[in-house]
Amino acid sequence: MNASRRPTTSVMSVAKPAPSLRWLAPGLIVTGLMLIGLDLARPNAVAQVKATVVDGMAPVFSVLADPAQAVGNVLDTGYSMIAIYQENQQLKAENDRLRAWYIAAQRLSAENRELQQLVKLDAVWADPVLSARVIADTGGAFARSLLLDRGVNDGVMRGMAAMTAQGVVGRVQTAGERSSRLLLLTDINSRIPAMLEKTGDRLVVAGNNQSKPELQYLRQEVPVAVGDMVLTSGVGGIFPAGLPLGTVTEVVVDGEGRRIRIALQPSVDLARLGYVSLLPSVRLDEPVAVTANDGPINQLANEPVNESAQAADADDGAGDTGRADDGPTNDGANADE
Amino acid sequence: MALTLMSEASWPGNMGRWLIRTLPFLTLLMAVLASHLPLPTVVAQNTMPPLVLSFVFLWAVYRPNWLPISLVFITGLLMDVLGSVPLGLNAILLILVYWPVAIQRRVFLREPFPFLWVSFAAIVALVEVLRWLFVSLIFWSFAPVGLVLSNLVVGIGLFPLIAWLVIQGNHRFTRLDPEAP
Repeated sequence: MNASRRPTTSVMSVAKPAPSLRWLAPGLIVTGLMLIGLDLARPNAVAQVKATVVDGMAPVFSVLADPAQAVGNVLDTGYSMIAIYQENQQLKAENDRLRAWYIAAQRLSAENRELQQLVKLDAVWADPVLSARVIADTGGAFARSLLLDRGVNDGVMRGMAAMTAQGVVGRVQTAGERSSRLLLLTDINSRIPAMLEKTGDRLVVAGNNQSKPELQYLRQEVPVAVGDMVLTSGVGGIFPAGLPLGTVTEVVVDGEGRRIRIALQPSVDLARLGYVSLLPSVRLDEPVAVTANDGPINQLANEPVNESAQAADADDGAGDTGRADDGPTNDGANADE
Repeated sequence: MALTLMSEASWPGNMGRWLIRTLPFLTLLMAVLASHLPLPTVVAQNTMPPLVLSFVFLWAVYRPNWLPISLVFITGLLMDVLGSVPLGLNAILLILVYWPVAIQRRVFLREPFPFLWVSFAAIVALVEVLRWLFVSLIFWSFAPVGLVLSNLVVGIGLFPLIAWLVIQGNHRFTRLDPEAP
């Protein structure tokens, strides 16, 4: 680089750092430690302060989001040229699979309509209340979150579920007045009560800060295979039931044939989100206790809600390392952290 | 740059001088913004190279007087507010880079550029390990290391480019503002 050839002594005449550095630096480190302590002790209060500051910066990100999108698209074009053959093969295979599903879906849709009329059921999930634009990526190596350009003033509330036409994206973690932070389902703090589409068995989709979250608390005797669809179960009330979360992409078994890890490929391409739709949650910021007549969504669930506790009890250790208190029943609480 | 269009005789006024001396802080703010732009691409997916850290390191070597430690701290707080780490973590980490480097800057100025580069690599690796340890402690489980490593590699790879920008900027502005401290 050019930099290596630059004379490095031209600024030698600059005075040495102010003596205040000697006192100020340790002082600032102590201040920083106190702030960390405050954040750990009072996370909600600090989150509110953060949301207010982020609100102020939202207009800047709003302006920059479009050019960033354009740059991303250019980079992506280059990348997809390289991967185009592989992608084409994948799409062909997927097309064949989807054709079969399309026929099945038509049949099931007709059947579903008839059954719904029989039991006089309302729509399974609520209509999106608003859509929001992604204006910043506030994640990193240790978190997965996005900044949205809508806040409390627009009707956003903490806990709202976010989705696209493909499926669930995550939920609103904090809401400022004009912006809000969206916790992606891949974040390590994300726990979404879910079920296997095939069998209806309950489980939890647990984020791990990687691109593929893990399925936890699924009983060992329940068969699961790569390609199985996973949907939200509606337990906990944050997410309406029946929204697509993703498909099982990897099942790891140990020497004795016990499953030790199940990975999920999210339905939504979380790397290329432009807009998301926000759905009203059934319960917002309420205590954890879920009763059978808690709301329309839980009434629609296949079984009484307290079965989720049994699912957690039935879990025989797989994928449950040191997180025993993260069972589906207290998901409402964990999800609100 | 707009600045090169102006004649050096009329430039800079007091206002201009003030502007020049805020340049390091502006580069930090721009690096913070750039780190959070939503690039919708698999190429940059979740990769967030330590841009701010690079600028803090370089300004601590070349122009610590234009970048007061309090502004470094504020930049760190801004990163904490935008990112999803406890408030204060990045602020402390930036101070831990700025402080010793600003004190020992003469060593870095004496040595050739590769020394600067290797030192940066060592410091940024140490900082990322500290951050990883802290986050793992908070979550009480080992945080994934894959992204930490890729961020490190990209950050160290980008360092010469950022160093070139800082050194160029420093030269130009020192010429424009010879009385600068």
